[in-house]
Amino acid sequence: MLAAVVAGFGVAMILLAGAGLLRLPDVYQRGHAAGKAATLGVCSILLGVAIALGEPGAWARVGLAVAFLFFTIPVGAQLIARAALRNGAPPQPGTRRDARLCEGDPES
Amino acid sequence: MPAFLTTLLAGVVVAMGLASLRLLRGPTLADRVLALDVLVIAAVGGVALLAWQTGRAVFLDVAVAVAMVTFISAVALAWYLEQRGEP
Repeated sequence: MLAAVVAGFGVAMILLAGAGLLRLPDVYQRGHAAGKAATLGVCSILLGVAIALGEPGAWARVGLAVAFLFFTIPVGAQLIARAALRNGAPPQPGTRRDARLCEGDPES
Repeated sequence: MPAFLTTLLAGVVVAMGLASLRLLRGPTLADRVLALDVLVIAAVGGVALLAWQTGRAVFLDVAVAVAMVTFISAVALAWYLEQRGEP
């Protein structure tokens, strides 16, 4: 029962990530959907499956996958959004640009 | 429990369809890369649900492997995007 609730919440979050990816207005906001909702969703699904299976092998694999995904998905989404910013991808109309962010970037 | 698992798998497939629409629609290459990222992450969730359906923890190895590959591909594509110099 607990496994079903956790996995169901994860699928709902994955669906929310897909909807956000489709509906949000620019690439930076879509990065939020890809970086946060998808992370929570897939980690919840994996935890739900581990609770359902209940064997030590499943917990070991799920622990490894969750530890890895929890750090790498937001980092990947941030890298892609930073590449889009440096290449001048257009933000939503009406966005005010931060001069420090766009001009004084020490790494570029 | 089988009907419930089928519903969950259908939800994951719908999420993959939404990400595919963004992959096809664009408008910038960064959008497509993000959509591909979410597509692969949803596939990891689907593989985990299939492991539940069959009751075999071995299938979770697939989820671990795909999760590691998708980070490498995201970093590589972000590097390529920066080198390319246009959105």
